[in-house]
Amino acid sequence: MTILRASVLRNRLVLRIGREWAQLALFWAIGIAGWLLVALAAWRAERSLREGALVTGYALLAMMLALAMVNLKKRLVALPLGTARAWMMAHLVIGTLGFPLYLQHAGGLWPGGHYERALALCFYTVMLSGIAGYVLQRLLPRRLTHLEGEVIYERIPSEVFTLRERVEALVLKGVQDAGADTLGRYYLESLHWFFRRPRFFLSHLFGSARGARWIRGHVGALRRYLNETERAALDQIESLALRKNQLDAHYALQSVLKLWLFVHIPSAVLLIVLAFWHLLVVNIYSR
Amino acid sequence: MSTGRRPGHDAAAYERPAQPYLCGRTSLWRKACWQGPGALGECGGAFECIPVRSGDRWECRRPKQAGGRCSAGPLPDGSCSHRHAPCAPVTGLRRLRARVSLVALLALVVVLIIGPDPTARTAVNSAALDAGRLSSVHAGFTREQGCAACHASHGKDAWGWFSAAFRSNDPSTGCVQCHGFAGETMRAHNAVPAKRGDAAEVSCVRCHTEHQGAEVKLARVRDQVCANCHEKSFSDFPAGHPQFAARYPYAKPGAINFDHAKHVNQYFADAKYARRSPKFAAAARTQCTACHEVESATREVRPKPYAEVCAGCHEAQIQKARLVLLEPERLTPAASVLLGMPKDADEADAGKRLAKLWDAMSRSGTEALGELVGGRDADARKRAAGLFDGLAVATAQSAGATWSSRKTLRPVDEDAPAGWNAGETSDGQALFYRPRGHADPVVRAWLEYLRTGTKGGDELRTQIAADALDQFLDKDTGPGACGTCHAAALRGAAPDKLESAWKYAASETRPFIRYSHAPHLELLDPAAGCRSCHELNASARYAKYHAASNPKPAAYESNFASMKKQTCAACHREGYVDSACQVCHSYHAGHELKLGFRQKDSKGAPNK
Repeated sequence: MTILRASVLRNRLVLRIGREWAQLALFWAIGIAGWLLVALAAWRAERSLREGALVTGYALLAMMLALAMVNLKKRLVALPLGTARAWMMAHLVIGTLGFPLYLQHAGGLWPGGHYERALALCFYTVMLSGIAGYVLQRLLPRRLTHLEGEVIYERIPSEVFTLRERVEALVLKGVQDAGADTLGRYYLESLHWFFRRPRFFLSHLFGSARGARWIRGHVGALRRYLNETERAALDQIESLALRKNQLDAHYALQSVLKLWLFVHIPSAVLLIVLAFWHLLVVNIYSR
Repeated sequence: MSTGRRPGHDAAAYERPAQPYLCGRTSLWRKACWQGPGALGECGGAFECIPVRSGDRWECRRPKQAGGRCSAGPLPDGSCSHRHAPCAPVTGLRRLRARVSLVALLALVVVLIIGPDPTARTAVNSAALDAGRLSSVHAGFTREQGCAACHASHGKDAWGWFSAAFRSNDPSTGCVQCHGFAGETMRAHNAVPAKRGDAAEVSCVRCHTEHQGAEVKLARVRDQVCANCHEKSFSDFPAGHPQFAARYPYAKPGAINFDHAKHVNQYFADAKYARRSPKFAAAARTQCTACHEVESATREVRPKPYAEVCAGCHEAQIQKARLVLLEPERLTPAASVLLGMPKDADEADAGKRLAKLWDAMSRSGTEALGELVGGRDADARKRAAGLFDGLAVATAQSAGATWSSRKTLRPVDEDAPAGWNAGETSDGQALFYRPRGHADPVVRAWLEYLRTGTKGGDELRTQIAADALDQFLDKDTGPGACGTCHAAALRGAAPDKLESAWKYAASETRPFIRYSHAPHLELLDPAAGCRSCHELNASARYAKYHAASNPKPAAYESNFASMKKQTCAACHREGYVDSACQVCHSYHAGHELKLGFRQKDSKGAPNK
C-alpha cells in the first residue's frame, strides 16, 4: 500500500514538473515572440524615418506595468487570475526580456542626463535585485527543506519564547533537584544570551554549523562540573538549544527571502514613477 | 515549530503577515498576544480576554490557542484576571516596505521639484529635465536662454506643460534657424529623391542626437541611419558596399584632350619629344605632382596652369600654325564661310565673288570683311571686331587693291611677327594671322564663330561652317593647333556655352560624395605614387573620342583604369581605417550656417 502510494506521488510529481517546464517554455515562446514583434516594429519605424525608440519606450513601459501586476495579484488572491507560480514565471520571462529591450531603447548602458541616469540606476537596481531574488528563491527553499521541521516566519518569535520558557523551567527544576546553582549560573552566563533571540544570522545564511558547535562546546565544557541529576537536565537543555539553532537557521534564511524585496520593490516603484516622468518630459520637450 | 502535522484551526493563532501592524511582543522575542494590534497600530489589549456574563456569573472567554479558559476565571467585577503590560505594536514587513517606497518616492519628488539647485528658473529642478550635456558647439548659445533656446515648451506653467504634451514639440524647428541647406530643408538629402519621392519629412533630431556629451560630434551619424533608406543596406564597407560603377570615376570626358598614357609612356620618355623640356619631362614621367596640385586638393585635383606645364612643349606649335584668311586664287575655309560658298563651289563663280571682295576691300578695308560676317547690326559688328581684331584697315585695303589689280604682294618673312600680315610666303600670297600664343583671342573668336555657324541657319551655311571648323580643328594644319586639345570640347559644347569648352572641366559635381586627396598622400606606396589608385590604361581608345567629328560621351574611354572598391577597402576596413558611410558620403546639400560664416564645400571654397 505504501509502495503504491509512493508510486502515485512520484508520478504526480513528475507530471507537475513536466507541466511547469511546459508552462515555462510557453511563456518564453510568447515572450520572445512579443519581443521580436516590438523589435520588428521599432526597426520598421526606423526604416520609415520615424522614431523607433517610441515603440521600444512604450513597450518597456507596458512591460514594467505588467511586471508590477505581480504585486497586485498577491493582493487579489480571491480572483481566479492564475496560479502564483505562473505569475512568477511570467514575471521572470518579462523581466529578463526587459534588459535587451532597454538596451535597444536607450542605445547604450549608461545615459547622459541626471534624471535619465537615475532612471537607469533604478532599472539596473530592479533588474539585479530581481536576479538576486530569483537566485535566492531557487537556493534557500531547498536549504529550508533540509532543516528540521517547518515554521511560519511570523511565528518564530513565539517559538523562540516557548523554547526559552521550557529551558528556563528545566534550569529551575535542575537547580532545585540538585540543590546546586551551577546549572543556573551557567544558563545566566551563556545560554540565556543564546535563547534571548535568534543568533548566528550570517553563519546560518552561509550554511555554517557555527551555532551547533557553539552549543556543543559550551555544554561539553559544563558537563564535567555537573552531577548526574544536573546532567540529565543539561541533556534536555542541549536538545532544546539544538532545536533553537534550527529555528535560527529558519529565521536567517526566511529573513533574506523577505528582505531582498526591500530593495526590489521600492526601486521598482521609483522606476515606474521615473518612467512616467521620462514619458512626460519626452512628450513635452521633443515630440 | 511544526514537525509535519498540521495544527488544528484553534491550536495556534492565525498569522496575518499582510496586516499593517504586528504585536509588539514579537519584537522583544516573546509570544504575541492572541488579539493582536488594532488596525491603527494600537495595542490589542492588556487583558487576555473579555469575560461574558452568563446569568449571575462571569465566564472566561480566552480562546483555545491562547491557553483556553483560565483556572482563575474573571474577577468579580467582570474584568479578566490576567492582566499584562500593553505592548507597542511594530510595523509589518509589507507596511514597512511600503513606507520605504514612499520615503524613496518623496525623496525623489523633493529632488525633482526643489533639488540641489534653488536658483533654477523653472518649477522643476533642472536636474529633473537634464537629458545630458550638450555638445560643445551648442553649449555656448544656450547659455542665456537655457533649454528654451531649442525647446519652446521649457519654462511654461503647468497648463503650458499640459498642453505641450498634446502637440508637436519637435526641436528641429529651432535647428533651421541657424542651419540652412540648399533645397528642401527637411527632406532626405535636402531633395526629393526620385526613388523615394513619397518619403516623409525627416526631423533633424531623427539623426542628430543631442545631449550625448560635449565631445560628441553631432554631424556624425551611425551607418544604420543611412541604411534606413538605402536599399543596399550593409554594415561593412569591404563586404557590403556596392562595387564602384564600371568607369568610375572617369566616365565622363574632360574638356581638354590630354592622353595621360601617351604623355607618360611616350612623350615624357622618348628623348625625341622630351628634349623640348627635358627637366620637366623627367619629373612628369614619374611624378603626377609635376602637373597636378595635389597637396591642396580635396576631391578635385586640378592641373597646373598651361603656362607652367604645357607651354614648354606646345607654345611653339601654337605660334607656328597660321590662320590663312584670304588667298587671291583659292577659296580658303575662312573665305568660304565669309562668302557663304562651299569649298567645292564653281571656280569661276568663286573667282567672281573674290574679285568683288578684293574690290570692296580696296575701298573700305576691314569694313568690307565685317559686312560679310553678318550685316551691320551690333552683334555682327562685335563679332567681326573679334574676328579681325588687330587687322589694320590699310593692310586689308592693300591686299584688296593688290589682288583686285591682279598684282602680287610683297614677300613677307616666314617668321613674321605675331598678328595680321599680308604678303607672299613659301605657300603663296595670303592675308594671314599668326597667333600670339595660347588662348589667342582671334583664333578663338574664329573657332567660336565657326562652331556657332554649325548650329541653326540654313543647311548650306551650316555645312560650310562645319567644313571650315573641321579644317580649323585639324591638329596639324589648323590655326593655333587648338584642335589638338580642344576639338572634342568645342564640338560637344552648346553654341551658347562655348566658354566652358576652353577651360579645364572639373569632374562631375557630386554633392554627397566627399574625398580629399591630401590625407591619402602619405599613405601611398612610394614606388607607385598616385598610380597606387590611378592606374594608366594604355590600351584604352582615348584618342578616338577627341578625334571624332561628332564625339559621343557614351563612347568615351578614359586612359585610366576604373577604380575598384578593393583599392579603398585595403585600408578602409574593420580594425584599420574608419569605413563608416560618412567618411566618403555626406547627407546634406549646401549646408550653411546663418551666423555670418559658411561651411566650405568639397573644393575648399565657401558654399554659394
